[in-house]
Amino acid sequence: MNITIINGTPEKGWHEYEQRLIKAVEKLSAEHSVSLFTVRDMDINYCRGCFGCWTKTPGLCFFRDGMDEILGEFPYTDFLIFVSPLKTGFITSETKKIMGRMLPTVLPYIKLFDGECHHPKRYDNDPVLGLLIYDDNPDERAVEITFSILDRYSLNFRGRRTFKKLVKPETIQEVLENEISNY
Amino acid sequence: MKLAIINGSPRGKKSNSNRIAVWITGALSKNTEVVKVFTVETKRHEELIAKISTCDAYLFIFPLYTDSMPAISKAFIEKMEDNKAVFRGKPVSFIIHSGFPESSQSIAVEKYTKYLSSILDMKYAGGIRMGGSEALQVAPDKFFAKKRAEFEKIAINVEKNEPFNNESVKLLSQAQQLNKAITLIMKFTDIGNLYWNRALKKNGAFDRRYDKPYAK
Repeated sequence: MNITIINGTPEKGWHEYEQRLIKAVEKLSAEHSVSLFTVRDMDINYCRGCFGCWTKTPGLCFFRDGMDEILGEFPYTDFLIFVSPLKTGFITSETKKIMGRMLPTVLPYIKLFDGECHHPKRYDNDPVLGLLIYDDNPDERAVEITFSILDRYSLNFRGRRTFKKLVKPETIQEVLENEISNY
Repeated sequence: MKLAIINGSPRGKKSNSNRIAVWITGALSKNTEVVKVFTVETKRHEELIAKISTCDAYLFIFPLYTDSMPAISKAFIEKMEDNKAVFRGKPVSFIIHSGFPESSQSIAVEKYTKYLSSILDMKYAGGIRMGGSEALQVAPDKFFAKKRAEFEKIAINVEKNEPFNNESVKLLSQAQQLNKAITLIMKFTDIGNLYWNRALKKNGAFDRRYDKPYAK
């Protein structure tokens, strides 16, 4: 299985969660091809909203930066999993930056899916979309809203299925193993 | 009164958000001072927060980007929380607009903006979610005359620190979902592709529209 994990943890805090994530990745790597991308350590620009990846160089962003590494794996990945603490009641800007830069993976065209406008996929693969969020004292409303926004994102992502979980440091590995075994 | 207009679009001054901001600003009285900031200036966020810290009210305008706010705006929101003492108790309102025609696509993030207001200890003063905003890039002003008139009424609501009037909220958020006629047109015609095909052809990229550059 090819597994792409986007770690949107910001610089300060969350050490225990991050260490547990790294250990989980090490364990999963024994059986799967796992890539862990820590956004804060990468040179990745924010989407500039030019739509050049749709109308000038189809499928290719204006920026040549760290996002090429992530997008280079995308056509072959079976899982795209975002991992983020809750910050101001939502995923971090680091995590959102990558979601925004996934724009070249869909076509500009608008089609109706279940009576609603969405973009068709550019690539043929059908990855599972996942989101793991964490917080020492998670607010129920923040979790609910974050999950509901991911549900919206999944409609445009159009993957095989979507999972979303609130995790603690000690449950990260178990959640990842369960979800991957449910492929 | 001093009003901060926070433009949350990656396109900055050339954005649809700014076109709406210009309409709003034009409807305000001379007694209102407007401080405009652009979250696309990511390296200046601290400075921009300082610039708007003495404002009396805040209006955030951003496009729906991959189902929520653009990442540059999320980064700005995080900086606002770091400095939340200066925003405490002040009114904040939001205009969310989407390229998708249905305003219902922005319901989830609109819920977040209400929640965010409470996180920042600010007073949620109102919200608009408008679909079909990508047409702002190409359509002449007269095409949007009715919507502009409603935004001008909203501007007065913001200025007077009163709730957004229900009629403008309803009119601007119209096309909550596609009606039957548009659904049929979308289903059986190529109308959803025309704008994009024109842009692709203009850029000499039409033949490459389905390219998969990352597939080896």
